[in-house]
Amino acid sequence: MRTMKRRKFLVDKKMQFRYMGLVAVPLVALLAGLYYLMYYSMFNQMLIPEAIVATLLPAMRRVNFTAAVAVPVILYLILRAALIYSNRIVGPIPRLEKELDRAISGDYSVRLKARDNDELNSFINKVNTLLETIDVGRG
Amino acid sequence: MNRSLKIKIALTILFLSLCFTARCAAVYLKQFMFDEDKALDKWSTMVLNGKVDYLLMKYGSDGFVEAESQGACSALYYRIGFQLKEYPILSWKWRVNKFPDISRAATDLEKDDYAARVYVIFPFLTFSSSKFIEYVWAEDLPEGTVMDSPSGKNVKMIVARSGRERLGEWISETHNVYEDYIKAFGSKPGMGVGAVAIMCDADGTRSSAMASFDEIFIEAM
Repeated sequence: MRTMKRRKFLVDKKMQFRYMGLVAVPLVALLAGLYYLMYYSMFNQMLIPEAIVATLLPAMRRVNFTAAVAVPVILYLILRAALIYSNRIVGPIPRLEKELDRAISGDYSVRLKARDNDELNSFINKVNTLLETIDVGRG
Repeated sequence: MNRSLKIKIALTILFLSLCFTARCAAVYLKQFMFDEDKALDKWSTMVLNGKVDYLLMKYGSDGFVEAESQGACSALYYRIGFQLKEYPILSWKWRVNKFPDISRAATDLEKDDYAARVYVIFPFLTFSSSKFIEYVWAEDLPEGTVMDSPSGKNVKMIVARSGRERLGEWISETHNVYEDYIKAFGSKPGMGVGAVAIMCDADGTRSSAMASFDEIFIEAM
């Protein structure tokens, strides 16, 4: 198997965005849920308005300020990770389709190429073995 | 008068007296008498700025809570969930022995010192969506005054008692909190009560205050 460098991370926008959404949306919801849980449990523990205004609200303002800086960075990192991982699954599919089209049209010498980190490596290896068997059988 | 008529009259009187008794008997959700030694065990303390001493005192078999603040501010609260429409009446007894020295306050926030307050807390999703009613004993504001607390527009203060004339004297208060809520917020309560609290504070004025609380009752109409 030849090693190929990944040049394009966004191959199938619709499918990859779906994968990115599957990763990013629960993570953002989890972060938002944790933030609210933290706020509400402190608020519910304090209950006295003067205490909340004097301590909790200033503390939450500091947390919000930090979050305003940190959340875009965290979100960017999450989306970037989701893009890379979704590309490992979705990325090879259009290329595999092209190469399989060649095999369907009778060119059994074709071999499917995959990158080391692609999730479909095992499947591609099996298809290549099948193509090789057919190719050798045809002489 | 024949016998059956007598029975009818007797039954009617009995029925009317039962109705009257049933109507007069108050239905209490909670009665805080503070007579037992462990009466404060289920109350929690919220320290805002130094701890106020809340002590369970006994006068014979009658107990009460005595609060003394030396430039401090902390509250005692009791978590209790109920719908205000079902139990709208809150009554209590309080006594102020010493008012904080308001003359030492320079700002509105510093003036927010009261020897005695009783809270009704309506917690909701966030602080700003929650509502709070504070009944205060103020020195210089007319009774019945409803005002925003420096803590926010969702915190309404109602002057339940005013002046120094009855210093050192136990005073009973009874309030229809449901009606007070509508008066203060302009709408019916959208959420239930989550807690009641009492507080004595003198931290803003850095002076001292002393008050006592007793017989806090939550009851139906």
